[in-house]
Amino acid sequence: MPNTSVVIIGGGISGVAAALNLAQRGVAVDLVEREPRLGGNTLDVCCKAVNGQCQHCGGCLVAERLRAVCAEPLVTVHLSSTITNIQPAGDTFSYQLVTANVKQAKSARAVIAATGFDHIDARTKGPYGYGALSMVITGEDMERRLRAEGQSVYDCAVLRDVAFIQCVGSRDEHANRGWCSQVCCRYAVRLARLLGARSPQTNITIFKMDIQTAGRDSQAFALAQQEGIRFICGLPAVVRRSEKDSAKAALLFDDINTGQFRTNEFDLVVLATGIEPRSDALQLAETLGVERNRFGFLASQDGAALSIPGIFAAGCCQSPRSISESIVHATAAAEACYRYLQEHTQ
Amino acid sequence: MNKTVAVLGGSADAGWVVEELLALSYSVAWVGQEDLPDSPRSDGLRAYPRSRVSAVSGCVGSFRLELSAPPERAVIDAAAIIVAMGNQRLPLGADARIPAHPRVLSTQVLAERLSAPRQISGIAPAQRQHILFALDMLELSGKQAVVETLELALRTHDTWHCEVSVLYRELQVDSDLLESLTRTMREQGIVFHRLQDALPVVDDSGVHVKHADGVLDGDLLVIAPVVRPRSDSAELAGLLRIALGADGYFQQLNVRSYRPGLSNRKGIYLAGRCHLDADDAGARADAAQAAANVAILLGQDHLQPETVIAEVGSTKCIRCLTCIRTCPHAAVELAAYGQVTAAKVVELACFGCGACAANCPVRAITMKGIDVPVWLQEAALV
Amino acid sequence: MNKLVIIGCDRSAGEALRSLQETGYCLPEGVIYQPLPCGGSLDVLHVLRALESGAERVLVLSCYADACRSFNGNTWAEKRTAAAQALLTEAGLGQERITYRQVSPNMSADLGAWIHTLINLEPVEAQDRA
Repeated sequence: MPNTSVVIIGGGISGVAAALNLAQRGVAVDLVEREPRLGGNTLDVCCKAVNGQCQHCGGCLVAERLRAVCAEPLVTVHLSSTITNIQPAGDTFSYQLVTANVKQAKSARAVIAATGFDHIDARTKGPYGYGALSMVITGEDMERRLRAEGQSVYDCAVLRDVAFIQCVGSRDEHANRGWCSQVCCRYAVRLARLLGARSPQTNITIFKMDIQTAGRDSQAFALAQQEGIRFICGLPAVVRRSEKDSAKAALLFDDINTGQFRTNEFDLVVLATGIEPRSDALQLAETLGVERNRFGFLASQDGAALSIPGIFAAGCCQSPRSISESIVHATAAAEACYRYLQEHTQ
Repeated sequence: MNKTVAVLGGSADAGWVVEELLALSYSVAWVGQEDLPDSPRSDGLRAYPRSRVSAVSGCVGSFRLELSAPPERAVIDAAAIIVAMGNQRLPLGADARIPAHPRVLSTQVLAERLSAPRQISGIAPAQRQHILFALDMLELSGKQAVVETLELALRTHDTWHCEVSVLYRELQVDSDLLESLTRTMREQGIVFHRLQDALPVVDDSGVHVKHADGVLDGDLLVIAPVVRPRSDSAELAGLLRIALGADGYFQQLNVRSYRPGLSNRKGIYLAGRCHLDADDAGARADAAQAAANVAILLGQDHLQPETVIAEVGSTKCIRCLTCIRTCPHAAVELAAYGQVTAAKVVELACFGCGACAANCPVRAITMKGIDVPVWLQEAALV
Repeated sequence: MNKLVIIGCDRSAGEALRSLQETGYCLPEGVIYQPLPCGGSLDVLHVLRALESGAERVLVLSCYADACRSFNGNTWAEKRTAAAQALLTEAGLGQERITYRQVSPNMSADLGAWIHTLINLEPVEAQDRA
């Protein structure tokens, strides 16, 4: 398909996967990433293999795709770049590509939004003390350290009791975040197993609402139970500094087995924070006039096509997804985009 | 190049794959053991209902499938194959822990009764009944089962205006659909209870299920379907020379191949619930992925081998078949080299992993396309 | 003389090393990386050749189970490394010259740490046969 080009907004794994798919089909792509590197949030995802066995988090699927997209002649990667003034112009879209304050007018036959997600700020869940208590961290923090400093980073820490708290910032109608972020159960259980396998002396407790277990690749929950990770149904009301030992956190929770409030102490509390659409998606939706659902994700009727013809969504800007699911969704978005181009080029 | 794609399986999953492929203008040969669902009429589609694959030969770009469809036989030449045979559900009586009693139903039976609404088994008018829907009863329910059961629970509530409760262990909400479904259900007064380990008790007075807050009494208990890989998966996998996982679904559970629906062989792809757990939306997305896999493969004018592939030195080969047994991609076969028979690597099918080369007891196999440093070269061997 | 030869699957070890190099890392002097298309293509001879060429130590890297593109390559790599270690033990050369690790493309920090540790170990003394 000569003389066609598609602009993909966002160079995380979804944008990269969509770009690769289109390029393999002969479509020229401008891939625009605001950061100086491709990869987005996946750059902080660590390997969670336990006892020599992969846990299917998909973190390892990224590197080869990032390299492949850079080597792809039909893909032009624009790093540290943003897009402004994007608007429909007849059968195409015109926009300005801004790289280091240099503006360039460009056009594209179709647009794929792949603006990804932000981690929900754990500080918005005040009672859990994130930011104020040093022993309270987020799953994102833990994952980033494991990736940057290696899997042994928590081995030497004296962690007798570790708690994970699920659904922080997610499934929370009071905060207008009623959605399930889909990834936090999986990463938390996998991280808990990794921690448990590396430090067998550590007792791990996971406070949860409902573990999202569906899927052939989600055996981690059953394995975690076998390995002695304790699951408690119900989320703690509050996390405080322990009065007995100021290095520890005290978690106050409702024990549904006894119906009583209980306090347990932990050396480390990991908040499994959810994910929300990036603010870029909001801007894009407003400029282009595409619809968003009530939680702010780009609304799509049929998987990837958005409310305006020629604009598609790939990955987490449309709904929370794991890495491998994002790759599949981005492929579907690229496929839908390719078909649109076929229909509109004759 | 032949651009026919063979789609194997009569499931809804296969129907979506066929739709996707036709939209991409591929010729499709659709083979199913059962009657095939209605599909868009298209010149590109040849349907082979009530047919079994009896033999498969060739490789990516030129597979040949022989079908036995009594009384006639058919042959399909296809460039690629998509397996989309779906899964199967266990009958309710398959597990003795679920009491056999007229008050205990499968979702299918309830769905049938729902479309003929008057009375249920003479127990009481439907409106005054309390119907319990149990997810996760014997094992945690997958997405397909959860969506089907919750949609049925809501439909029952809407149709019969009866009391409906849902029992679960871990409620799946991790998709837009499930989230809005459970929200709607709660808004309509359907109550959710978390199951305890105890099994349901059924007697003439009703069904009784222990849950986290007490005991729930109802008139009927509807059990979410329990799905398993199809029993004929192994046979088809054998014919196609592709792997099954330890759990019986297609392909080992491997992070690099699982989601994209790749099999261990070039040109054979997997779609839908023969390899993953998904609701209809997920299976549709997977069908699009399978079609994209094919489109990427067949989008080129000629199929190209990988840059690194194995090559057999036919004069060194002792025909021990080790390479044929060990190749994870079924890419080695016996072939005639003039007068001699020896192992031969099918170039298009080779992934270039080198397992054959490392396993060959006489070092007859070398890897083409790799720079081997002097210190590693065979010539340096004593 | 090489202190360390790394023989690894290019899809995991190679990706991890390249990611590390993108951050400015250079392999220390005396360390060389020999890519394999997959752990499954590791030959005991690869390991022995590396030692014969003068390497003090060999680090064999392959994928985790369920992460090998060719499904079982990592098990072959592990078995062949064990076989090479057995040969070294038999020869009284010390099997600790050969290290086997599983690695994933996003474990570049770990890879850097392993290399650092291995090149700073004392040389292996030849031992009497058991």
